[in-house]
Amino acid sequence: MAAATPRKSRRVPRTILITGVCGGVGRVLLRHLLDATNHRIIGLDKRNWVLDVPDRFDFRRVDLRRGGAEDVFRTERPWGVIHLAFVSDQRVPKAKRHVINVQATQRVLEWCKRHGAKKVVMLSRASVYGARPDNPSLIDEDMPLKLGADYTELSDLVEFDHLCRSWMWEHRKLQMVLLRPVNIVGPNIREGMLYQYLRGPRVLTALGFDPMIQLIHERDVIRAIQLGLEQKARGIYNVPGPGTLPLTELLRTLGRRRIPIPHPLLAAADRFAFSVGRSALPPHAIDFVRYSCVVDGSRIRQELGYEPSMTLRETIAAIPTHHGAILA
Amino acid sequence: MVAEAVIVYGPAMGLAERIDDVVMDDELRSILERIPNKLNEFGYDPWGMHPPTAVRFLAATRWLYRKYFRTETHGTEGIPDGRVLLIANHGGQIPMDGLVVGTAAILEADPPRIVRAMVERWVPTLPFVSSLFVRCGQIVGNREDCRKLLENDECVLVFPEGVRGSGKTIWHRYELQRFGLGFMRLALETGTPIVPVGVVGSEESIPSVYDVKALARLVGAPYAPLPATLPLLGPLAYAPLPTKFILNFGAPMRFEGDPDASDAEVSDKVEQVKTALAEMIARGLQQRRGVFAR
Repeated sequence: MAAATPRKSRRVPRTILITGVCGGVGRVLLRHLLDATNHRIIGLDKRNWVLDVPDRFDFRRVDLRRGGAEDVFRTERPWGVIHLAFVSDQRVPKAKRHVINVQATQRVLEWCKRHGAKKVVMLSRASVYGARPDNPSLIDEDMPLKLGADYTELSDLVEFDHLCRSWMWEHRKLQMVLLRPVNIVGPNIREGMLYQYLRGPRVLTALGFDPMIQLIHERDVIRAIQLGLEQKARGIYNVPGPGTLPLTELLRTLGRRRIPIPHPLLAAADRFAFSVGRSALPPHAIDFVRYSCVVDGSRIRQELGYEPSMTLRETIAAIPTHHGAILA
Repeated sequence: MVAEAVIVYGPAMGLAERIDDVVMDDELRSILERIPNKLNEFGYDPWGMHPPTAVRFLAATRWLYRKYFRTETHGTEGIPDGRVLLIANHGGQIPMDGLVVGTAAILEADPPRIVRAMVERWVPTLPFVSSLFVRCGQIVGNREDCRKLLENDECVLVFPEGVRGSGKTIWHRYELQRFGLGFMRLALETGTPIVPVGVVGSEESIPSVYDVKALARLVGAPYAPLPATLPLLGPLAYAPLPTKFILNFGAPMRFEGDPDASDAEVSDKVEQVKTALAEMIARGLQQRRGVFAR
């Protein structure tokens, strides 16, 4: 779709605010938006910005949970907000995750409304649907989110998604795009379930199960975010990558050794291995090595004109080796 | 999805290649080449189907189809290209009918069609079976996937009787049970022709004389058959007997109308399919010279 081309966006410079800009997606997105558009970008993070500060970029070190953050909205009045301040690391205590992922998000949405933001892009994730035996083979956006039903530990992910969804329809002046990308991989991505799972040379699998896995390259995620920001659209979109492949095929391509465990023992084996640091598969993720959670990307393709730019092989090659090196 | 249909074997598929050396013959190789499907760089379709795996498994089902059940198949030349719904009768406790219809569509139809059956919801919980089913193109039964498969011009097999058909006892063999209406609504919505498939042979393959409902409730199964051959064969009674299978694929039926019409209106159309299917079954029973005929 022509509306997505950088040329068009160059004509109207806007102020775009990115929360959590120091994270992997945030850094890549910032670089991309500065290159591809003439927007002015304000980055918020409670971490410090350690890289060079490019032109048209302002970094403000603030914590969304504390005072000072709203003042950035008040004084800068951003046109668009991309909310990336999100903790997905399950080793962070649940209460803290809830404060950041739900309460801080609520405040950001409030500020967006109060200080005249027109557009907001929220990044949820495809895992909110949960990996379950009764899942459809291709999940549509309107399927109920079942992740929290099985794992209350992860209810903040689902709550975040529901919060955004209810805002989307209650505050129609704010045009919201809620993206649910599949597992994000790439040289800058050092978090997320799949990244953690693939950190070691050997990984636990469920004997006799081989779920289909979807991956998306960080560059394709930011393309989707840019489309969400610039297109006149509102709604929820699954963001799949270039294709789907079985877990075993992925592990074989990456050269990880499989340790197949009969599924009734898998949870216990994983809890043990996780506690002694030999496995990076968080206990709640066990279902994801047993059942598929594959999303359908027709809606984003048709409505936003999204197409992944990387092939499946290129995307897989962007996963760091178990030493942490990037080969491609 | 990636458009090029490239079949790529993974780098370390030693075992798969060794199996291929043993089981692959000219017929299977030619089938693998002719299967029309949209695959990604790794050779999988969006639903997880992997033609090389499906064809490897076909080596086993072909033996069942030709040698064990001595299947006679009529009318596969009438299967239209593109999207199609196969509607078949269901019986015989375990879904041998699905397996035989699927094998027939891939062996006898030209081009070979991979039949996507809508399987029970507990199948994905079974180790090995779950992934084999997915690689062979089988899908957990749900409306949305079925619609997407048809829009992708696939060949979908539906047993509208569901467990009402497969769980019935030998006394009710070849009596069509109540049909669900979902398949007709999908056919109307997607403009899909319907091909009735009369399956003869399946309904005697495990001759259940009684459905032990209390036991079924206890183990959470939809039904618990008590095979007549149990005293004679013991647990082996739950394996299908080598009955003679006869399949009759009917002429494609095309329906038009509102997919959101009332149940009563859709029922009328479903009745037409049921009548056509009953004819196909009657023809098969006529062609059969005996339950265990050669």
